[in-house]
Amino acid sequence: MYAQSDYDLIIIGGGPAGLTAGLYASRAKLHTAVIERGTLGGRIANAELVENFPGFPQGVSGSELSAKMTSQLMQAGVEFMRTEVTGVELRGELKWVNTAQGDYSAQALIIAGGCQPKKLGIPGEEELVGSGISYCAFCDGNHFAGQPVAVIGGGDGGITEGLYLTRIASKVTVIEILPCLNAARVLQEKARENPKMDILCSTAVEAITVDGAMKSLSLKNVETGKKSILKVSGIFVLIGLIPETGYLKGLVELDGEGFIKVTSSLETSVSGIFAAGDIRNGSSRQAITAAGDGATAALSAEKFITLKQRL
Amino acid sequence: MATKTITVLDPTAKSQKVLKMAPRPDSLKGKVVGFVWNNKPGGDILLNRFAELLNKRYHFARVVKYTKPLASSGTDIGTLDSLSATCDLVIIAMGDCGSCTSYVVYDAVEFEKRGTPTVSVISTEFEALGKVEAQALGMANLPMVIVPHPVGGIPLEQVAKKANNALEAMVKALSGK
Repeated sequence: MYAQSDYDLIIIGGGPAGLTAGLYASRAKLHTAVIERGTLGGRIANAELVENFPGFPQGVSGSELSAKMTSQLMQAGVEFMRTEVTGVELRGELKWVNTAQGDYSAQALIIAGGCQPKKLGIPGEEELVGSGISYCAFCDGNHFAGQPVAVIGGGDGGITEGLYLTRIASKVTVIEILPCLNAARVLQEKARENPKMDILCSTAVEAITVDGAMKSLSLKNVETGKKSILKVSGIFVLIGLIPETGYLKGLVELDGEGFIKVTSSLETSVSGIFAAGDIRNGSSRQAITAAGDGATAALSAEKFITLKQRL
Repeated sequence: MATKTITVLDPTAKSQKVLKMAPRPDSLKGKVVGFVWNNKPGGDILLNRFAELLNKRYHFARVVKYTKPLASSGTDIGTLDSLSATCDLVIIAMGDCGSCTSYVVYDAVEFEKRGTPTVSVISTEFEALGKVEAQALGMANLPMVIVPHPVGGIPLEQVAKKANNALEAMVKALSGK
C-alpha cells in the first residue's frame, strides 16, 4: 500500500553525502527534504583546502565546496530544514522523522548525519573545551597566533590541521599514540619537511592541566614508559570520529562502535532506510567517498520508492 | 479528428521557503544597537571599532554588547529574545570559518524573525557559504558586510582598519539605503 507522506524522501544530514543524495533525488523527481542542524557542507566546510576532490586541480576551500554543493541543490528545488533530529519512528508504511520543529513523514530515509570528533576522555579535557582545547584548527587556530600548540592525532586530520597551524603558531607538536604516523604519505612528507613541526610517536596523553596561560600535557611513551610534560597554549584533538547514531539505537542495526551496518546498496537493517557517508560502517570517511555514498543511497531509495508505488 | 492539448504540470517543489526580513529603520540616530561577538579572534576588535565609528556619527541611545560562549553553536533562545526586545538593531561577528559563519547567519535569521534588523559580518573567504546558508534559511537577501579574510591572527590595528574601510557598507546594510 502506498500511503501519503510529507515527502518522498527525507535526508538527515547536509554534508557531502546528504547533499549528493539530495541532488540525485531531485533528478529522480522525488519530493525531498534535507535536514541539517549545523553547517551545510558538514565538517568539510571547516577545511582550509580540499586537495583530493576531483575537478579542482589547485584544490578548493571547504567553504567554497560546501557553498557550491548546497547552491546546486537549491537550484534543483530540494527543501532544507535547519533543525535537530531527535528520533526516527516506523509508523505503518511510513518513516517518521522527529525534529525540534515537528514530525515529518517520508516513504524512505537516508541517514547521512556524519560524525563528531572523538574526545580524549582524559582528566582536564571537558573543562578546557572552548578555552584551550579545540577540535578544529581552521576554526580556532588564530586564538594561538605566535604561540606553541599541540595536535593530538597523527592521521590525515591531525597532519592536515597541524600543517595549517604551522602558519599561525610558533611551534606545532604532533602527538601520536601509534609507533608511526598513519596519515597519507604525501602528508607525512610535508610534516617531516616542516621546520615548525615536531612529531612524537608512541606517545599517550594522560592528563591536561592548566598552568597559568599555558596548558601542561602529561605525556607517556607507551614503549619505554618514560613520562614527560609538554607545555603549550592550545591543544587540537584530532583522534578520529564517532558516529551520531544515538537516536537510532534499537531501530537500525549498529556495529560495535555505533556505525550503521549497511548492505552493498547502502540499505540498513530496516527496509527503506539507507545510510551514507561517514556514519555507515566501512566508510573511507573522505568527502569524495561520502558523495559517492550519497549517490548510491539516493539511487537505492529511488528504486525502493518506485517499487512501493507499483505495489 | 479533433486534437486536445493537455498541460502536464510538474508537481515537484522548485522554490525554497522565503522569510520576511525585519523592516529597516528610517534613521540610525538614537538607536539601541546590539553587538554580538561569537568569540572569534579579531571579531571583538572589529565590532568595537564599528561601535565607536557608528556611535560617533549616529549618537546611539545605548550600545549593548554580548559575547557568545561558543562560535559553533546558536545563541540560546532566551538571549535572542532578550536582545531582540532590548535592541533596535543587531550586528553579529565573526563569520570566518565554516561553522561560525553558519551560526552567525543562523543567529541573524533568528533576530530578523523576531523583528530586529541585523547585519552579519563575514570574511571574504566565507562569503559564498554565508550567502548560501542565508538562502537555505529563507532569507537570501540577509544583509552582510564582507571584510577581507583573515580577521584573526593579524595585528589589531589591521583589524580596526578593516572596520574603517567597511563603515559605509555597514551603514548601508543597517539602514537598507
